[in-house]
Amino acid sequence: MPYTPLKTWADGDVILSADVQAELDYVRDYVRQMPATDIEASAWANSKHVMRGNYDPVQNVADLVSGQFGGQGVLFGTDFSYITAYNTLRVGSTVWEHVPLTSLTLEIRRPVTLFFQWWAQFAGYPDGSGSTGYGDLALFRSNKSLRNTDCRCRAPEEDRTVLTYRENRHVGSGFFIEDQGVGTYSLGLVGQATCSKVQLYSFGVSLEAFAL
Amino acid sequence: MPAAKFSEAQTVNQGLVDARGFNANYDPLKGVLNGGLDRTSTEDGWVSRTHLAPNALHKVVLDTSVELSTGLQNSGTSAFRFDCLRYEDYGGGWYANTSFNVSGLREGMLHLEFSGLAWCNKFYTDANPKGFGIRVLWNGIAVVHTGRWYTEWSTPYVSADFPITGDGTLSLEFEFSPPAPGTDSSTSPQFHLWGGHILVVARFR
Amino acid sequence: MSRVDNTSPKAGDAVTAAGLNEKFTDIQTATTAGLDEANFRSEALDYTKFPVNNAHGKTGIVLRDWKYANNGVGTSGGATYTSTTIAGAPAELSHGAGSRLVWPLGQELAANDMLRAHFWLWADAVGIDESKYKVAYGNASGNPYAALVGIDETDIPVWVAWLQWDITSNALANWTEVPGQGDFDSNFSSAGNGSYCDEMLATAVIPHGSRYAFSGQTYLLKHTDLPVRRSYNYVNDTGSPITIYGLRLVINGLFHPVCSSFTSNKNALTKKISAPTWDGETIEINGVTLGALVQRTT
Repeated sequence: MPYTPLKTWADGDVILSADVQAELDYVRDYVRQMPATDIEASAWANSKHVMRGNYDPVQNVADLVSGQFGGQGVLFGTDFSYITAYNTLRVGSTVWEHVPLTSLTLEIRRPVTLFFQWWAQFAGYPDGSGSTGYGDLALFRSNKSLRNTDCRCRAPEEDRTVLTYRENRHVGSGFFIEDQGVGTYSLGLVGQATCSKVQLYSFGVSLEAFAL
Repeated sequence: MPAAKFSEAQTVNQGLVDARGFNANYDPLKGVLNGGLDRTSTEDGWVSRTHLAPNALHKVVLDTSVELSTGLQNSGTSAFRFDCLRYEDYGGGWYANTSFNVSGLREGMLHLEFSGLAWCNKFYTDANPKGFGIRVLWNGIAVVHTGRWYTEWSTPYVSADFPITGDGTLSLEFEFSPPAPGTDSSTSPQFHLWGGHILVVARFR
Repeated sequence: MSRVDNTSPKAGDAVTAAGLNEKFTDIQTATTAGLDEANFRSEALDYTKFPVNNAHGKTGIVLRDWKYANNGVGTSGGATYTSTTIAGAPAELSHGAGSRLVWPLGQELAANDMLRAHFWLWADAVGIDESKYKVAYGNASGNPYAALVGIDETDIPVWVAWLQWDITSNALANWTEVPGQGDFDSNFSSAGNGSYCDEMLATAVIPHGSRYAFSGQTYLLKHTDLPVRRSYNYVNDTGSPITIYGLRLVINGLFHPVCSSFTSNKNALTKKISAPTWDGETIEINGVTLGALVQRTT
């Protein structure tokens, strides 16, 4: 509740130490639980009044009061990632596997709204099989099995020896939005391929976890 | 009764009020109220839009006019084509197409998106395809650098997230396949970029 | 100003009721709806001081609302759209309710709020009449993949998909193009109907084919399995709030690039009406995803 002095002294009152001390103690307790109604309702709070966040350089994610924001990316010619038809745990061409360098893990401490998006330039390399395969990208949330193909992207095998050669190196890109509660949460890309290797030669994933 | 005066003595009941003792209690509380209130002082959940000054938490900049530099939009050889990049005006390499300053920033995380439309003359007379690439720089450092797109029509989309310490300059560049000497026309349309927007969301707190 | 400004008593100062009262009424004055930047230290506000929703991040301080929808079609079995060369309204691309975004009570986009819309679709441009393309580059006729790529090197037409919104009512009976987006139905006389390139902020282009090289010759490829993604951002700079009831995607085609006196010498995409006419071509649009965030910009 708002602060109101406990006592108002009048002329001639005996000033009791107990009264003075009680008043001081009351102020002390008040400044430890001030109500919102005592705060001026005007736009006075700027950046300096809000706590700084933390930056995780490994994942390139900033943990701020307003949420968690960041992402990963690869510049053309500096690194690459891949989807391959051959994985040691692979049991069929429809198996989806994590795409390296495309995942983020968050510790969510208060409910957020997640906006995750990605883009990738990726091309399927000819494997000499005589058939035109492809590589697909999709989103996973929390684990591989929680896969979302709403914005599935495909790069065909770039095999110039077959008449159906495509040479369609267009960007694959997608996004997803959902609310997420407290907990540890991962998201990123999974891929499946029917040609031997699909290379992601420039790409980026971006996360905006709105807490406010 | 005679007027009481502040004394040096400790406060005792019905005794004189000690100034030093009073100040020792009162002044720290006054100091807390005068610029010392912190996260333990108030109840929770009270901050609203009303209390926040503009750009306290983040700043948004949106450029919705990204297209091929006007100076490169020149006439082709027929009405049914764009006025766009020709080899008469461009010989290859990265071209700084769009640049603007982003100010009013502080340390934090910057998120940017570019979405646009592009056309390129994939095959003119040569069997090798032509394509375009995009690069976005922040204060001269590439934060997006793509390989080439080789489709005639495309809707390129890229994004990037990186830490910032303050104001900066954002630049969007493209590069297009250079001309094949003696083969490619200098006046035929080769590449056009239009309908683009660059979104910058800089988050501080 | 909400500071507590009074002078500390010194030994020998007179103690009066008024003076003592003032010490505490000064605090009352400063704190009665008056605490502001003069009272709070740096970094006084952590996330517990902000309102938190138990299920999401839409507190309205930054994020106001979001919508997301996918039509559930996947990579095949979607709707087919046919090209025309005449004026007319576009077809809705979202397959009915499957991927429209709807706010039954309306979502306010206040002055300086931003709408961030993103869409994705999966296209198969399979209905191509190859006779409309010219033979060029020495390709042999009779080859089923023979090209069909014109001497006019811009002869590959394009479908366009773009965003519309309804800011009238939740009856969703008044769809209009979002700001910065044309309706691809302006009449450019002999150049056909279309829109200028500077009014395509919410447009995605879907190629109706692509050229590729094989054995030294150039061919036309029917575009299949083609994902396309576009974003659209709009900051409400009208000074007044806008209420959004729905967002949807529409499609029209086929369009060619033009820059002539018919388009006031501005770049445009139009439905070419000179021979060959480009009606009767088809494209299949399968999966469609549409999402939107409404957030503050300050």
